[in-house]
This record gives sequence, C-alpha cells and structure tokens, in this order.
Amino acid sequence: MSKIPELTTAEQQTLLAIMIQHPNAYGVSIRDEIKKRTDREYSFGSIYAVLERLEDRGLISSREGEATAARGGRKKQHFIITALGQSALQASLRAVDAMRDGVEIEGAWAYA
Amino acid sequence: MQLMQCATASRLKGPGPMLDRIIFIMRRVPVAVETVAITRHLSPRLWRFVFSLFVYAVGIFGCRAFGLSTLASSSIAVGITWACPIPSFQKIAAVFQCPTDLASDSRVEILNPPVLAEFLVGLFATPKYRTSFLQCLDEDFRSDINAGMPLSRARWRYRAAALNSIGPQFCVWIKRIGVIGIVADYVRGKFGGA
Repeated sequence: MSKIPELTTAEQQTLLAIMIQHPNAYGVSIRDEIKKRTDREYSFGSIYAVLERLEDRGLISSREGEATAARGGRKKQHFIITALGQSALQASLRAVDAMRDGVEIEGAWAYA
Repeated sequence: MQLMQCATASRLKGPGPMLDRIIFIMRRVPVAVETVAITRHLSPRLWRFVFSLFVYAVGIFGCRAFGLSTLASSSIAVGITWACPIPSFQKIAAVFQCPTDLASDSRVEILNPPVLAEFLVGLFATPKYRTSFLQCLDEDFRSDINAGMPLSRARWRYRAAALNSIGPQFCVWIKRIGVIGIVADYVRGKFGGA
C-alpha cells in the first residue's frame, strides 16, 4: 500500500476548490472559489505552484479544455482530482477533525 | 427694446456669412473624406495614410492656386505631408477622424496587456502551465476592462498581479535549477567546512 501524502492548508484548499468546481476547475475558478469561501486571495503564481506540486505527486491531473472568446480564443487547462488525491484529502481532513475533537476554541482561555 | 431686438437678431444671424460658410465647408470635409475613402472601418495606420494623402492633395492644389510651379508645389506639399506623424498634427487628424475609428483604436489597445509584465511571467512560469497562467492573468485583465475600469488602472492591476505571481514561481524556478545547492557549495568552498 502506497503511503498517503500529507497536505498543507493551501493544498487542501486547492483540492477542495477543484472538487467543488468539477469538471470546470481552472486557474481563475480555483482562485475565485478559495476567495469566496475563505476570503483569502492567492496570486496565480501561488495557485500554479501548488497545482504543479499536486500534479507532480499524482494527486491531480490536467487536461486541455475548449477555447473561449473570453480568454482570447486560447485553451483553458482543467484540473481534476485523482483517486490518490481524494484519499490524501480525506486523510488530511480527518486528521484535522481528530485534532479538533473535543476542543472548544470559542471562549477558550488563551495566553496573551 | 430695439437694441435688444438687434442683439437677438445678430445672435441668431451668427458671427457672419463668411465664417458660416467656412464652418459649413469644414463640417463637410470629414464627411467627404469619409465617403470617398470609406474611413469608417479603416485601421488607424491606414487612416493616417489616407489623411496624409488628403493633406498632400490640399497642399499641392493650394500652392498651385497661388501660382507656384509644379515642382515648388509638390515640394511644399511633400513637406507638409511629412509633418503628418508629428503629434500635434495627429491631433488635427483626430478631429476629422470619426468616433467609431477612435473607439476601434482604444479597442485595439485593450486587447494588449502590458508586454513587459507578460514577458516576466512567461520567463519564470513552468513551460507546462505557461499558456494557462498567462491566460488567467489575461482573463482577469479583460474582466476588469469589461467591468468599466479605466485601461490604465486595469494595466496597473495586471502589472501588480504579474509581479505578485512571479515570487512563488521564482521560488519554484530556484528549486528546479538547484540554486540553493550552488549557493551552499559556494559558501562551503569559501568559508571551509566538511
């Protein structure tokens, strides 16, 4: 059994955005989805750096889409999550949930 | 009362028949040029050429009317036409140019995001995602323009987004070519070590 890779927050968010936008996830839609849901605006450089990393690790795959007039008649590159990507995302989110279990963050006593 | 009637009459009559005539002719000139040269859909460069021809014709006929020789007339006309690319002359040309042409000029500009920013992004982007990456920036640029943002502001936003994107891509680029290893080797060689 292959080892399930660990994910950073940016990778988690990107994978979730790809799943939400399926099957039309591409650079702009991924960036907009993350911004809409988390209010955090990543640059395209960051998005593509994460996408490259994920694709190198086999967590996502890409295909060329159709050309649209809005993009100057050039083709989009669509991303889809692979089975390994789904497992990695599930494991990562489960780990976060396991850590959160029983912890009340709101109203908790905190230093400083 | 009579004075007031006189003033109203003179205002209605305008500055004078001669000036009216000149204004009437001047208003017809672009219409005539437009009709002859079908300027409504000409490209700006072709428009400049047609305007230069028009200036040349006016120059040569004007000089001939003053009784100058053909050679002198053509020399002067060529001289005047030569001045057509000068910016102040272009402003005069723009008066005659119909609004649709001016709008098409700006449309031509809109289609082109800043070249230098595009080049920098293309330089550091991964070859696999280069086209997609540039097109994402281009799509943002177009949506800004379609949202009614001024062209200059949209271009600045494009430059900012491009510069913002270069950082992470630059890091990937450094990792790919192994700059960190080279620097580490250099430091080790310079200051000694195992």
